Amino acid sequence: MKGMLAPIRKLKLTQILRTPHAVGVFGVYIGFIILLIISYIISPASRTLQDFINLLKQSSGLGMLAIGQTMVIMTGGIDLCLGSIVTLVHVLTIGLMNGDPSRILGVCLLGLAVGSLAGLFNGLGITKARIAPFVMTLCTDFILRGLYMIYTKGQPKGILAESFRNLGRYRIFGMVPLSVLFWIVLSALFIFILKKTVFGNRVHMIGANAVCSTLSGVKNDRIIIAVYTLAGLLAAFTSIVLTMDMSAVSLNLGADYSMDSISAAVVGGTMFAGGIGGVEGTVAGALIIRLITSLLQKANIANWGKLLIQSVLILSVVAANSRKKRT
Amino acid sequence: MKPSADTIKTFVRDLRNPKRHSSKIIWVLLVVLLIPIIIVIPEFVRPANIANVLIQMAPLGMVAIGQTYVILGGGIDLSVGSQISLISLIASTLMTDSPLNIIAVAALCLVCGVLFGALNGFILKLFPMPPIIVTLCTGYFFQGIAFALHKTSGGYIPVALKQVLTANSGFFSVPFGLYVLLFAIFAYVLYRTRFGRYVYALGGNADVLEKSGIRIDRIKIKTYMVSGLLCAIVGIYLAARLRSGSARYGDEYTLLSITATVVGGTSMAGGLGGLTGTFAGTILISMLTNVLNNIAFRYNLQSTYYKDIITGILLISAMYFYRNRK
Repeated sequence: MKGMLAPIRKLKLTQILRTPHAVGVFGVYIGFIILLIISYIISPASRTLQDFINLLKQSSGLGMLAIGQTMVIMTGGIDLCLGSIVTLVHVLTIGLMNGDPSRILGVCLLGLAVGSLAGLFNGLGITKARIAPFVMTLCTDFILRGLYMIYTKGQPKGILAESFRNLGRYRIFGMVPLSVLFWIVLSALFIFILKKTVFGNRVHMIGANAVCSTLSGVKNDRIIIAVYTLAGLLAAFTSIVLTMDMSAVSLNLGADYSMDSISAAVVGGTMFAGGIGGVEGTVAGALIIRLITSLLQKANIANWGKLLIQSVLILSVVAANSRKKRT
Repeated sequence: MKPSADTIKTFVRDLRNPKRHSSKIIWVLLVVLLIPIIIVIPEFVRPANIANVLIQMAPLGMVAIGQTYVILGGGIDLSVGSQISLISLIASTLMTDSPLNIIAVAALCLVCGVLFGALNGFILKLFPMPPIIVTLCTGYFFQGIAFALHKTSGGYIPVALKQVLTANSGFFSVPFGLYVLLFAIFAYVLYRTRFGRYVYALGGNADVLEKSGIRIDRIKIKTYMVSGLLCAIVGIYLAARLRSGSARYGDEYTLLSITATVVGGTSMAGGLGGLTGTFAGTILISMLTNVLNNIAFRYNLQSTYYKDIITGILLISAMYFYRNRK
C-alpha cells in the first residue's frame, strides 16, 4: 500500500470536468439547476440564501455517505448496509455519551471504529469468501439492524452532551454549518484521491476490468477491502455529524440512506458496470435527491412519493446508461 | 461393509460438491441440528408444535419456490417482499363479504402478481441491467404504491376466507397442504418438463441456450412470473391470516427466501441446485425460527431481532461454504 496516495499527475480543473460519463458531470449540474429553478417557481418563499444553505445542510449527510457508495459502485459492487451503519453508530454515540462531555472523543472514535469494522467485514466477505457484494451487504444490513435493535431493545435512550450539540449549532461566518464544511472538504479530498492518486486509478481499473488489473499486478482484494472499509468509515463519520444536529435519538435516522446514497451516486453519473464515475457527479446527485425529497415533503407525499420517484429515477438512469458503450 | 477412510472421504467430497439436484449437506445439517434441539427443548417434537412449524413454513416455502426458479435462471428477485405487501393491500382494500367478490379479487391478485413478475422480466429484457438493480428498484416502487394505499395496516378481509385458508386439523392444515401441492406442481415443472430444463440451461449457460434457438428472454420473464404468482398467493394468505393488509407484511421474506434457496444448495450464479434443497432450506429456517421463538419466550427476549442476525449469518456462511462451486 506504500505510495498509494502519491499523486500521479498534476491536477487540472479541465480534466475533472472532461470525464467519460454517460450524461457528463455538466449535465448533472445543469439538471440540478433546472430542478432548483422549478422549485423556486413552485414555492417563491424558498428563494432565499438561507433556504439554499438549508438545502446544502440537508444534503451534506447524504453527500458524505454517498462518497463511499460511489467508490463501492465504481469497483462494480454495491453497499446496502450503509443506512444500518448510520443508525447503529447514531444509537451507540448517543447511548454511550449520555450527556457526559468527557466521553465525546472516545465515543466518536468508537463509532468510527464500529463503522470501519462493518465495512471491513463486508470487504473480507466479498473478497476472501467470494460472496456477491449485494448479498454480503444485505446480510450485514440485517445483522447490524439486529444488533442495534438488541442494544436499544426498541426504545433508544440517551442524551447528547451540551458541548457536542453546540458543535451542531455552530455556524461558520454565522451562516455555514460545520456539516457543509465537512462535506466540501471530504468531497474535494476524494475527488483528488480518485482522480489523481495510484489508489484512485486502481479503483477505476478494478471496476473497468478486474482481470486486467490483476494481470497488471494490482492486488484487487486489498483495494476492494479498503474501499468497503472507507465506505463504512464515511458512513460512521456521517452518522456522528448528523447526530450533532439531533435533539433526540431516532431508530429511523439511517432508514433511507442506503437507497438515497445509491440514487445520488447513480444520478451523479457513476455506472453500475463499474469503472466509470466519480465523486464530482455524486455531489450534484446528492443535491438533486435532497431537493426532490424536500419538494415532496412540501407536497406532503414524501413517504411514498419518494419511493416511487427514486425507483423510477434509478431505473431510467441505469437504463439510459446501459445502452451506451463503455469507455 | 466397513466404511473405509476412502468412502468417508468420498462422502465428504460429495457433501461439498452437491450434484445438480441433490444437496445432501443440508439434510445432514438438519439432522445434526435436530439432536441438540431435542435435548435442549423437548417440547419441540410435540405433535402440536410440529404441526405449528409446518404451518409457519408454508408462506416462506411458497416464496422460496419462486425465488429458486429465478436464481436457477441466473437472476435474483429482491422485490418479493414488496410484492407480497402490495398484494396483501390490494386484497384487503377490494374484498367484501360476497363469495363472488372474494373469488374475483383473489383472481385479480394472482393476475397482479404475475404482472409484477412480468414487469421485472420485461425491464430486464429491454435493458441489459443487472437483475439486482432492477428488482431492488421495482421493489421500492411496489413498496411506494403500497404506502400510498395504506400507511399502516388496514383494509378488510372476510372471516370466511380466513377460515378457509387457515383451517387445520391435527397434522393437516390448508396452508401446508397448499404448499405441498404447489411444491409438487413446480417441482414437476422444473424436473420433468422442457421449460424446467431451459431454466437450468438459462442459468448454466445462456449463450448456448440462445444459440440453440431458444428465446431466452421468454424463459427469463417466465421465471419472474412464477415468482410473482407465488408472491401473490402468499400475499393473499398473509392478508387472510391477519384479516388485514399491510405495507410491511412481506419485508422479511426477501432475505429469508434467498437464504432458504442458497442454504439449500442453489448456486447464486444459476444453473445449479434445485427445489428439493430449497425445501430443506425452508425446513431449516422454520425450525430455527420456532426454536428461537421458544428460547426468546423463555428468557423474555425479542426474537425478531435475533432472527435478523441469525438469518444474515446463515446466508453468509452458506455462501462461504459453497464459494468454490462454479
